[in-house]
Amino acid sequence: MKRELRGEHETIWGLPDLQTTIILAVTTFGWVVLGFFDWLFGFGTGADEHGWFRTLLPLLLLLPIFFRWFRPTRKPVDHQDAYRLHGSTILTALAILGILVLFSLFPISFNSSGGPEEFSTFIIGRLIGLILLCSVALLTENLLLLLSYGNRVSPSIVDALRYGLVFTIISAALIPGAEAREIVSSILASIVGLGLFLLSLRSGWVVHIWRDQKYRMLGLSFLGILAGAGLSTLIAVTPVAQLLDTTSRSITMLGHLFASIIIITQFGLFIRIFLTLPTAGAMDRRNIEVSSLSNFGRLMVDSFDMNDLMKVSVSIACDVTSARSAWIELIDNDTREIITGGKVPLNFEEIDKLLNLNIDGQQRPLGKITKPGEGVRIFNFTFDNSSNTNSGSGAELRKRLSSGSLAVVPLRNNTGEGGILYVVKGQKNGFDRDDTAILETVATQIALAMEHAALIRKSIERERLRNEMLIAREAQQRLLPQAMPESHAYELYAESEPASMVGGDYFDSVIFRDGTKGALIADVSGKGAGAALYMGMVKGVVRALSGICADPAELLTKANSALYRNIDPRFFVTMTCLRLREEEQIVQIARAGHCPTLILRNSGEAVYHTPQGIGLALTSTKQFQRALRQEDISCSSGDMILLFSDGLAEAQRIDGEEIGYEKFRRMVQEVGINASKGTLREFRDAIFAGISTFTENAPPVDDSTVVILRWR
Amino acid sequence: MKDFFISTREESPAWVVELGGYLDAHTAPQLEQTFQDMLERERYRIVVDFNQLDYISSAGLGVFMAFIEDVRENQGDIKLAGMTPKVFNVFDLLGFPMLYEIYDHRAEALNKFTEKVEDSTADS
Repeated sequence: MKRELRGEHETIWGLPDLQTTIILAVTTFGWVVLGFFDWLFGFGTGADEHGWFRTLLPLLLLLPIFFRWFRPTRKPVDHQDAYRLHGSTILTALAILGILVLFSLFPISFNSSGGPEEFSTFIIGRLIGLILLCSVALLTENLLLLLSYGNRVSPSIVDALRYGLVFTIISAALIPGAEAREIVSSILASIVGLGLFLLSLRSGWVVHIWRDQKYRMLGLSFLGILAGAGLSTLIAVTPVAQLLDTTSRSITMLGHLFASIIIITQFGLFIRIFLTLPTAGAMDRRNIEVSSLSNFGRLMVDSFDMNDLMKVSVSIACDVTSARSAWIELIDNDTREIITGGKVPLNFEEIDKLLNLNIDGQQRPLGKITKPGEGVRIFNFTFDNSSNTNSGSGAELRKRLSSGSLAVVPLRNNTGEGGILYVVKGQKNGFDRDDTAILETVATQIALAMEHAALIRKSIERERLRNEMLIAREAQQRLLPQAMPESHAYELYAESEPASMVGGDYFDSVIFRDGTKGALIADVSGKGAGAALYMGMVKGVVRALSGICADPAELLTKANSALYRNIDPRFFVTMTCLRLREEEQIVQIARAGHCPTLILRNSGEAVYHTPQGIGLALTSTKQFQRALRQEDISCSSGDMILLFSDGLAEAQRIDGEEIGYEKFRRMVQEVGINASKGTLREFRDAIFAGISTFTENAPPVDDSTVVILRWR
Repeated sequence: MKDFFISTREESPAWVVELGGYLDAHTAPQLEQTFQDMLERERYRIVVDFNQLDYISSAGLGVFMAFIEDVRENQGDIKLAGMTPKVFNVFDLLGFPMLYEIYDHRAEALNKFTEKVEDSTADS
């Protein structure tokens, strides 16, 4: 868990970028050329006879530092980054020191003029010089980067130190006259050194790293100081010093300077870290708390799996209180779910044992004490050796946990899903005031996360349902005929609009036994999915009866026997069926409980027609048939018959006022006068527009279906 | 729009279920529960008083169909009374007058039960 809280470990010491590589390559090339000339003129000469270019070449490398062209590493972005940068810089310095020590083990001997005697010695001297050059440049830049991180001093101070460093080197190398050189360079070096030391002391970020990292960093700083001292010694005392002098005086000086920088900065850091150690534990805890809470935030966005969420919650609860075990009990109605975790996760038997203990004079077992909605409560417990001595799991628990304290934290949740968080520590009175406060906070966060997860789950479920309803809607639309039959004698038009996704309205055309055609409208009681399912069934029944019935009455009667006792008794179906006798212009009509049929005469008059009949699936076929009356309506050209569902005549305003059958009749009569010229679709549109005018565009509460017949 | 309400009380020899407000798909389950309770307690003589009911939808009508058979098999009946013209129109279109006894006032429906009780005692 701690590891997770600290985030991903990625390296900060990448390969140098192109610019840095080019600078280093040019330096190396110059160094090799210089070596080539030295070799030509006799393996170099004594230190006093150095040409100015030998002194200057290493100093050229300072220019990139001066202008900050070096980018050996990226800038640290957080404390962990800075910690890693420090570690890698010190380790690199140690490695370089190791390599130099290895080189210095070669036998080194000099000729009378002070130059190396052997060619191999010459090469080693040049190599040591090159390694020193490059590492000084790269590591100095790294240390400067590290010091500028997290220091709230202005960048210009770091820059001033950077320039001071360069001027120190230049003055030490180029000022003529040994005395003046020494005075100027030591004053400059002291100022820069003091600045670096103070800057290292101010590295406040070390407070925020983890305790074990502080110890590690303390060790590394110490090693850094040793490395600096070692380097200093190597290039001052051993034969290596003389060898380096044969290459360039400035090299030795750069080496010394770098060694001092390391020693000064690491000493500063060492002191700083040392001072933070006493509060390291508390700091760690605060860091865990902060990162736990921010982790929760991330968790809430990422996860809606309740189990994952609870697992993380349990381990966060353990982390923030440094507890050994914790578990969460989720209480959802009658089910009880336990998620256990921590360094020493308790198993369910152990939890049950713990919950059944009578704790600290409480009369009831612990499991019954706390209900969701109360505050944090702390209990001490001891496993009494005299009771349950032989029960296996109890003995096991006592071995692992003979006494201790337990915090019981209710998880408050608005959605009603409750839970309790239990946190166990191995010592009595293990929870202090801070623990209680942080547990309260964590509990609130857990409850929030739970609620969030539940909401996401619900919205996913809702979306899934919506998609399924869309599929159902499409399927249902396909159950309705795409076009109604027409003939030279009449036109037919029909359309249905469900109020919600799916509906219970249905229309179709049918054929009777003698080949005459007809139309019908049906309405399954209720709305929505239940009605839609039975609508499909009604369609099946109608298709099965089409072609075998003599007239509408027979069709309705047979439909009643098919449906009665075959559907949920709470549902019923209303239907009106027409048979069109084209030659005589007679409409044969039978009605099974459906709302009235509107007949619009070509004179402009609209009248309702309501032959007697009981709804389908309401009663036995015998009773149904006895009640059913079939009638003939004689028509003439231009007469229209409007079958509709009650959704139209019972359309409502927002305030609940219905249009009603009489107003609906008058409205249809009005728009019907103009409809004789237009298409039936236009007539239908006019009727719907009339309804919308009345309802003031309120959303329809019931499905709306029309079947319109017009005699030519 | 008024809230839906149900009240039941015994008016010997039957039980009166008084309905008010809107009876639709949302409120129908409440009425269903009421009938369920009546049947569980073997109250088979039921008068439904629609006096205060403002609206009934098809889903509301369905509730009566769900229980009538059970009630009649137990020598009881559901009689309907006190409908407003608008509510009666809904029942009428569906053909309910041919399936149920519908009365203008609750008292008439209760009388019918009384007569029947007297008939049956006279028979025995």
